[in-house]
Amino acid sequence: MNDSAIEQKLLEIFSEFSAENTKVVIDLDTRIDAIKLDSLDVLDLQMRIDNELKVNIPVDKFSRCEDIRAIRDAIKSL
Amino acid sequence: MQSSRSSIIRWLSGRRTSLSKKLIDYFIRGYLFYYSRLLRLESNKEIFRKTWIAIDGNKFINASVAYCQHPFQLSNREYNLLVLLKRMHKAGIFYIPELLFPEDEGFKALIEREAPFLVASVHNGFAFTSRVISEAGRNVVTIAANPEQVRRTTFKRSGVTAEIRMIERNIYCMAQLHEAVKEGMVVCCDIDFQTGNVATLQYVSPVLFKFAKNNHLSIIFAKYEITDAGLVRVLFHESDHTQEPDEIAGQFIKYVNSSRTRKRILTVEKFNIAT
Repeated sequence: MNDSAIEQKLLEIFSEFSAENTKVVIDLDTRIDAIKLDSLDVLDLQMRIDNELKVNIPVDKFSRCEDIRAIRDAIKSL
Repeated sequence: MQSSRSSIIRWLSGRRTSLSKKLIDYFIRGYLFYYSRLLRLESNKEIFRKTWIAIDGNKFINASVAYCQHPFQLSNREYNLLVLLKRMHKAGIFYIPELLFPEDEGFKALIEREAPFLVASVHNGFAFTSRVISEAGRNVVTIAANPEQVRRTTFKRSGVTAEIRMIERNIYCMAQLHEAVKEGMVVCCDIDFQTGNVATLQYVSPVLFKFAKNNHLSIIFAKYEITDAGLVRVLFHESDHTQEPDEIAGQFIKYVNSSRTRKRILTVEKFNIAT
């Protein structure tokens, strides 16, 4: 999957989670804490990313990502 | 007029709690002094046993405990055990409560299952479920707001010697818990909590039951009783995990309060800050 496809997929997933919680407009610079996720949402989010992008981001790495751009970079670095 | 009356009542109630706590503390210190210094009992176990029996049979102490508001809503014996052990440790008399392990076949079968499961309990100042499950040979994971403090105080006081994986309570804790469960670890957690404006832990969160359902984990309710001799009997009950998380939380509250004379006031509420 190329960079643009990864970005597109991430924005799509985050938009869905945002719509459920806050309706924040999503772009690469959106901070994770702006979407007001609880811990079960974060688990669902991580599993969804792992499944749809066929990756396995360790939780430690995932928890250090402050925004969507950082998640994209973390995926690219795997 | 009304507000000044309620402030006086609040002040009197605070004074009564404070005096009751002091009275209990004086009695316990007195008994400890008597058995450890005057009678010079050498075994810490014997000092504990004698002091426990004295406290448990003391009407003044038991009447005073009723006025001691504790965040964990402890029963008389739970409160006395916690205060006695804290006081013994402060006095350098180190003693770990003796546990009566469940002897039924259900517990044995539970431990021998290779699959991970969830053990839910309420806060009581101890971590006896983590101790029982880890001493039975299973790896345990738990969530805490302050893992280091729990390790230093609650685990030490409860006699937990196994390595327990501690996950700090934040928005990533369920993702970390999911990793631990994939490794086959048993989740042991206290699921009652308080909000900013109440003094006691009055709410039970169904979040971990939802987690357990999503991950097909068996759900076990746990509580403990203290015997006349000061031994701790840990009790387990397997829940029907086909119910909805809120219903399971309701069943959990009933289980916690069954056979208690002093019921805990608990209601189901989602913990929506971090977990």
